[in-house]
Amino acid sequence: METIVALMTPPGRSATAMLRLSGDRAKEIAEKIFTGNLQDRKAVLGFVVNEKDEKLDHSLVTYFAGPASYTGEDVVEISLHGSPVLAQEVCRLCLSHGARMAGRGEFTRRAFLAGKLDMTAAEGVMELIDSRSPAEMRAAAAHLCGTVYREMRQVRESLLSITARLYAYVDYPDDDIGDYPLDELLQDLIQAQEQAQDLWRRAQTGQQVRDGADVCLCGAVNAGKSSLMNRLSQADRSIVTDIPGTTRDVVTQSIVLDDLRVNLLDTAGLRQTDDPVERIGVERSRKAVEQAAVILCLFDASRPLSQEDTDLITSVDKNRAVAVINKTDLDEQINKEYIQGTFKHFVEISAKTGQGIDALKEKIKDLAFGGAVIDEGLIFSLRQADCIKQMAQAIAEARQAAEAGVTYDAVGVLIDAAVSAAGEMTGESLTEDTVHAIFDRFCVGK
Amino acid sequence: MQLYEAGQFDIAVIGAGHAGIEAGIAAARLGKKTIVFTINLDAVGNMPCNPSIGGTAKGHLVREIDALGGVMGRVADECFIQSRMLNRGKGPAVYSLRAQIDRSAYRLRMKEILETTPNLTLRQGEVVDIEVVDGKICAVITRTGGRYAVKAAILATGTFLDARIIIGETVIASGPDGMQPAVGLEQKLKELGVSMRRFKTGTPSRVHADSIDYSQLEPQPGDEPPEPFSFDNEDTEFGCNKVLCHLAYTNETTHQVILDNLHLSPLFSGVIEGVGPRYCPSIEDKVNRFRDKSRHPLFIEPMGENTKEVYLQGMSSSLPEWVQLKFLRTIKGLEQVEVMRSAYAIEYDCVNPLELFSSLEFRKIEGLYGAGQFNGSSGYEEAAAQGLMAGINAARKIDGKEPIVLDRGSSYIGTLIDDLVTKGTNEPYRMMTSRSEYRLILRQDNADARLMPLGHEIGLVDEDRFAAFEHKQNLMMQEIERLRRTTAAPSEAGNAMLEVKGSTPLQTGIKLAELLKRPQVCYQDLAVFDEDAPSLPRSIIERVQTELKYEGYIKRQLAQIKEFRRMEAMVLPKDMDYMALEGLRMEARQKLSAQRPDNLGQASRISGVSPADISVLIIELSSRKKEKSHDDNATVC
Repeated sequence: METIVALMTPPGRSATAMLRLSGDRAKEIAEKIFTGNLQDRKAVLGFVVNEKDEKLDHSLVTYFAGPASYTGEDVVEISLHGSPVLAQEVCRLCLSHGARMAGRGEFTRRAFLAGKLDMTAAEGVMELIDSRSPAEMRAAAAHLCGTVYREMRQVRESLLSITARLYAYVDYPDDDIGDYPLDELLQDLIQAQEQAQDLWRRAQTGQQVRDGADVCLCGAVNAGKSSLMNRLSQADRSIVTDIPGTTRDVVTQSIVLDDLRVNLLDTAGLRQTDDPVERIGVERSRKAVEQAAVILCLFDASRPLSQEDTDLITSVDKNRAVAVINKTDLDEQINKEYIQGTFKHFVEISAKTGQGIDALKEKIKDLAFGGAVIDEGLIFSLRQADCIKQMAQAIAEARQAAEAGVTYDAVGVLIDAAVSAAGEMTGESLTEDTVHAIFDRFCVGK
Repeated sequence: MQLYEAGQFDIAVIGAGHAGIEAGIAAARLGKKTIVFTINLDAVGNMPCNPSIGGTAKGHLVREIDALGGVMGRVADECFIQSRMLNRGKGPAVYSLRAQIDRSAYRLRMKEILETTPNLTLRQGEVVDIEVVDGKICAVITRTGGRYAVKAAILATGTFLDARIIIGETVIASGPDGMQPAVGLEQKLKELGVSMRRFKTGTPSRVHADSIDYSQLEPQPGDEPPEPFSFDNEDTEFGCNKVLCHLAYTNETTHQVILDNLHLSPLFSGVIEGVGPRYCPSIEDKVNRFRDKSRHPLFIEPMGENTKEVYLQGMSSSLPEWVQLKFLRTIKGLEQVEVMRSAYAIEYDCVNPLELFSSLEFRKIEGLYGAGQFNGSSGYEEAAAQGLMAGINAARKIDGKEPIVLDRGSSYIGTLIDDLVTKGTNEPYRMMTSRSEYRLILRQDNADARLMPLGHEIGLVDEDRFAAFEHKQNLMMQEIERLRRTTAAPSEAGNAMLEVKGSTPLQTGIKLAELLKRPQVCYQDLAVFDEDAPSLPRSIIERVQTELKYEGYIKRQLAQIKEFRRMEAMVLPKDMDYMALEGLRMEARQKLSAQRPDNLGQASRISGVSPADISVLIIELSSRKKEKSHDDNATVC
């Protein structure tokens, strides 16, 4: 295999940076740029030098002889001090000695091809790398440890034991193997369905953990949406990120509340308008509100309720809505009792002083993730989530068919479909599409 | 031994059992000068085991053979003495026809057909050697010195090859039913580097009907009216049930006798080396493995109209004769039973089917084909199915045509052959409905729709037969269309019927086709809503009913078949160097190099090739494609 190199740590300044080389010539290239004596599975201290034998850095280098390495090939990992210029220079050196830059996911692809990772573990690596909150990271790690694989296997095995009994019953009409009475079949299907639904529920939790919960900010222009937004994001500034390339242009910021990702969506307002451009904005806002896990309805404590406020109060879904009375630092003019009586959730804050913000954050977390047991969440790729969904659906259909009195041959077809969906997910049965879906992410066939 | 030139033929078929018969007739009907050898002319089409044809999945095979133009179904219809459609309650995909056959009538009829088929020579003789020049078959040689020059040969030796029979401690070099074994050919094949297997199977005792107290047994009548195997006999009065079968049970005493003498079984003592089928265990095996079962059923089946011999299905054994007699006489109704032939186990040589291409031609010997039990299968129907395909493909080879390879989505025949040649088998392979992924499509009732056009194209289905088929298809399509168009209006009589059936009464009009999809409603029930219903034959009504009732499931399976065929269409290059392919596990490299599958679908079914290996192949194929398109671009630039 060609030798590839890449910076393993994110670009930018940091305490250390790590470069990895993998391939037939990894050791040879490393020896050309490193003064230390490479030993298998030992971290060796030495100098990284350029073509003119100038010392560039004092570094720690570890060599892993294949096949006992991450990729199954010879691997060298070079720990540098974290200067972007230095990392770039060492990368250039590796390239000049015959390595080439690794493509996205190429190390993992090589690991998979060398049989070091199974399909779900390989996908887990990608998820782990991409994880943006601690909860998400834990769920992705479950993947890597094979938890997901085992759980899926369990459902698949329940299904296989149903089909085994079904087919024995069909294939040996003369033998005394006993009938498969409908109530027993139904019982078995219900059990499999529960397992599948549990997995599906946890996949959804996982998806929520990964994608974050959408929290919509509504209210009149002067209610203080932007200052609340700022206040919430300031609370945890280091992890504030934008969501690039999203079509939901109402999204402004993403924050992390106690390990959990929350997307704050500022809406353009929901009032009636004749302006076609504004109408598009209003339509988008309405959609965002419809889909949001939490709707924060902001009211200015220093003013009486306007018509716009009252419209919002009557139209909003109270199960997801939190009434947020802002500007409690000013004189109170608002009819607080009315709001308190209408909403299920109610918080008073001052975005300016920060008073009440912690209570609001608790509220958001409760509403957005309250029902889900976060640590049970399992992160799946879209492909895997789709397999689980298909499996759960096929089992449900099989149960419906059996209940409706459809003959077992047809029920069996549905159970087969569930089994094959489970197999697709674990990689035990594969179609071309599956493989391409997975390896599109692994930069295949460069 | 001095050889003499005994003749020149296009194709020699070695063996005239169920595989050899279909192979010989197909080859001859496709215009090839064919010679069929049998070790004993009185054993053509013999049924050395159960006197029945069909059963689960096997009935499907017979229908498919018939649709392609084979003879088994037609002759079974002529010679049946009782017929039943098994699995009636379990759904149309698994309905399976099984008929008890008059064994001697069947033998005689088959012999007559072979004798009267143009282009076909039937010859008693034991083929002991084959001549292979430059990796190509060119002659077969009999024990008595005849050398027959041939362009192709089909090995259909059944259970005769180097066979021995075992009853307790007694071991006899013998083929089935006391016939001489075939010896010598297996040695030649091994010399040619062909990997051979030793399999074992068994058969129960035959007893005298008058020694059975039938009053103690449960009678099992046939279906009225009986259904035929052959599509030609559909909706005709082709024959009637003539005998009863009976059901009996073993009991704890029977089991005790067996367990007390288990140490005398050659299976346990190690006399038998061959591998037996799990799905067709001997009674001692059943009793030993399932100790908690207090009884096992056995079926008492007449062997013909003019014989007192009856067959005890479910009681195959290789225990000593005296033990057999002792345990049989513990069975209620069999207390006075007189055995006419003892149960025995038989061991024989067969080929490892991985030695064969999907066309059933040997990978290593051009022009040589294998079929039937020789290929590691078990059962008359499995044998006939392979015989037919081997006959067709040997004839096409001589004509320079591409072989006919049926895929898993088309038929049980395709599934059977694909299983054998890609997965191989470690025990005699029996067809089962669970072996097919596409059961709702591969039904026995639509075998004609699936395969008759192909049979016609091959040349084994004549114009008259094909015209009758097309007429039937048209009637069926018209009726389906009519049911889709016609609305059932709510009516008092109609709703009363629905309530009786346990189905919801109609509030508004509904298309008849939709009404028929309700599980409780059958075609006949539609009559009350459907005054203009045409009078249609039963076979068409059943087809229409199944096609509509199961439409959703059928569509689902058709989509699966489409996906399956996509993988089958991904051709693996003939020059692919698997040993050098990075990422393949070593076992996969070896298996793929040895078997050289035609396509990705086949590769995925080879045992030892994992899904991870398949993804490596997919990636390899797509990067080859990319490289190729790069090259193409390069030439353009």
